[in-house]
Amino acid sequence: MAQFQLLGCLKQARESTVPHTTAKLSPDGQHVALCEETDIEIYNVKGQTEVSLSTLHSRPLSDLCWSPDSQCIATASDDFTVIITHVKYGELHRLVGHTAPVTALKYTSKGNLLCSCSMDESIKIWDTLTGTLLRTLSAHSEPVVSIDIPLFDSSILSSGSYDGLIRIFDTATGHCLKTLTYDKDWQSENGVVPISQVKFSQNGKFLLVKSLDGILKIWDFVRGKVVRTFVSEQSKSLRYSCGMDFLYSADETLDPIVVSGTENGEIVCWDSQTKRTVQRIQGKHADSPVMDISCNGSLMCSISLNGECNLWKWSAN
Amino acid sequence: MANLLLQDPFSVLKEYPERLTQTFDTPLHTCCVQFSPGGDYLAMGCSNGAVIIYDMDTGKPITMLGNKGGGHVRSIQSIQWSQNGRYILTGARDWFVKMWDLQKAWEPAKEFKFHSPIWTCNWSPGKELGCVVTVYEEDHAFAVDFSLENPTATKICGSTERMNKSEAESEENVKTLDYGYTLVACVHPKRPDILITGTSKGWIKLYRLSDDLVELVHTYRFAHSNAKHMIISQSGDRLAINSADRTIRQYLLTMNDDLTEISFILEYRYQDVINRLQWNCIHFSNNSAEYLVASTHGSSAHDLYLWETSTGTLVRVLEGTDEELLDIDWDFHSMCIASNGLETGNVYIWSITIPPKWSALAPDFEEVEENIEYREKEDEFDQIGQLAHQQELDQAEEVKIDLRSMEKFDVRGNEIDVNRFIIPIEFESILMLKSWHNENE
Repeated sequence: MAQFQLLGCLKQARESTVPHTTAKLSPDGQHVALCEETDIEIYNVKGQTEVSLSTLHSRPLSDLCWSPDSQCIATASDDFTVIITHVKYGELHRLVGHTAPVTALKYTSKGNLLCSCSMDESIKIWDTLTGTLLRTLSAHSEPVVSIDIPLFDSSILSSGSYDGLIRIFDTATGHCLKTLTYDKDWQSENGVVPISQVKFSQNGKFLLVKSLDGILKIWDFVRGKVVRTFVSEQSKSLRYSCGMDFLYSADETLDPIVVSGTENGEIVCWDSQTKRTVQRIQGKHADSPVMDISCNGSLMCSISLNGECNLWKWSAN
Repeated sequence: MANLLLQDPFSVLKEYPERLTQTFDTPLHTCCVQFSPGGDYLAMGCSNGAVIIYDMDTGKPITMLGNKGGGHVRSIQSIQWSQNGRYILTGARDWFVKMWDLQKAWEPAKEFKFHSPIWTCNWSPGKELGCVVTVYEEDHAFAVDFSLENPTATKICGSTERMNKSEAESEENVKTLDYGYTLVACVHPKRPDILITGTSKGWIKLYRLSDDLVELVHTYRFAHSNAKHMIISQSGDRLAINSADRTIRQYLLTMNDDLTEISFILEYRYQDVINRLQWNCIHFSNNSAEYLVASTHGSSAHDLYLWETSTGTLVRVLEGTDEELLDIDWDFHSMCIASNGLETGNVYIWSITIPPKWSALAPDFEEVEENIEYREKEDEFDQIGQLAHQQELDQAEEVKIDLRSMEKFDVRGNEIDVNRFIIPIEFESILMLKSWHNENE
């Protein structure tokens, strides 16, 4: 049975720095980018530092997103702006329009559109060639914290918000096409459970959703049904939006793995079909919440709030 | 595409666009338009020889072919995208046929010069980077092979064609042996070895092409005037010819595998009986060509006409423009039709407009057409046991899910190709524009 093997530690935890919330593998699988205050640090997957790009953001960064050609990085900042930086040429565009910190970013598979969501409760779609705003989707009543677009289908956009709703939008028109709520969560006694992460399956037919209480669900979003639920141990604090991702191993016959970070520094892996826990990584990330998980091929990159960033490989023992 | 699954199925499955939704106010005068195979981009050929690619997502131009030199210098006559969307073939009145690789769109990848202006150019699907070109005042079409270092053109002339001529001489009407100039050509979509051409004297010629042999297997006279356009349906069984006698003829094309029996059965003729207008351009809808759309010639007509091919009746007039329309292209993925205006050179897009579904915003609500009287349903307030409900949810989690395999066709029946070519972004031009802006501020 395959498991995650630690390839190396890209970055050690440091004390008293700003929180680290994002580290992403590039679409070509060659690099990892992470944010250090207002700078972007790029490592290659062998573990060496390649380049450090400074941005003109005035506040720390909360999310970054590689363009599909792995040439540009878009960064979302607490200064309400998004900056697209080319790895070689530097800053291309500064996208101004949000009226609150920007929380998450996602490129479409063609790289011509960039979507951003913000604490101002809106989602904005930008033209990456000209840096202009194309449309604004306002349909949430609390901060929108996560968005995703299927890898091969830019026609839909999913969003997760602290108002407990998961919405699916049409990217071309901005119309809301579907709202997913699990009635029990939505109207439980202690109020709504905020959504913290959304992620489409590679074929764009299912949506993996994590709520702030640490429970993951796979939705069949067309039918509006939950088809899988994964629970590690319930988080009580509802504080950290911990990362998660699908891992698609090279063997086409195997079902993808659901990888999820927890508030106490663990990484839990489930078989998406059987819901069996296949691995639980403990002892890394020093009890700090694992804020981002990014998978590409057999590689997985994890980063915790304290800045420790590890690179893992899914391989047989 | 998944957005179609979540929208009103009656709107999504409309078979033709209905409303003018977008106008591209192009700086240059457009003479022909074509969508990329997946409908991501629209290529516009202009009267000064420029070819501009628009991104349909943003509605903005993203690149111009040959912006570092090597472009056409006269009006573009024909544009064709390759099947994978990476290459573009252009033919122009400057006698050149050029092939462009969109990976490096700033200069032509290959070109070939004829001795007269180009009418049409088409990719030949059987051959990698091969194409079929029809040229002004030439009896035959040409095959150009762009896979060679120095492209060559060979005349597509049947080995039996001369014999046919001598046979025909014995017949009464001596004029029939002269087929006239070959003006249009199209390749059979299901049989890449079959080329169909139309001539200036109203003949359809059907060739079989193999590696070393070209055979003229069938000829058919449809009229006594020249062929302006010839189109063939995706399934290859319907053919339509727009000819200079103001008529569009729609044929059912049947053939057996070894091409010994070929027949053209005239299904319908489309004519404007009142104004006797000519038709500029024609286009079929997808699959088995349920619909035929045409643009009209003449300053008084500003519309596109759409007929149902099975009955020959006019089903829709696409309105909204103030000028005569020329070229037409139909994108079946997003169901939109593009056409360019004669006077302004703008490009108009008709599409399906799907109304927003407000009930999608609140999952507990349902949109109803009209007021309905509330009647309590039998089980509406039944107390379902907590346990039974939980069991139901648990059962849903037992069903096998497939997170890997992709959908092969969208709901409209178009093939979804995930390996469609994406035109790389020209970062240099972004930087150039940026520095230009900075200087002007």
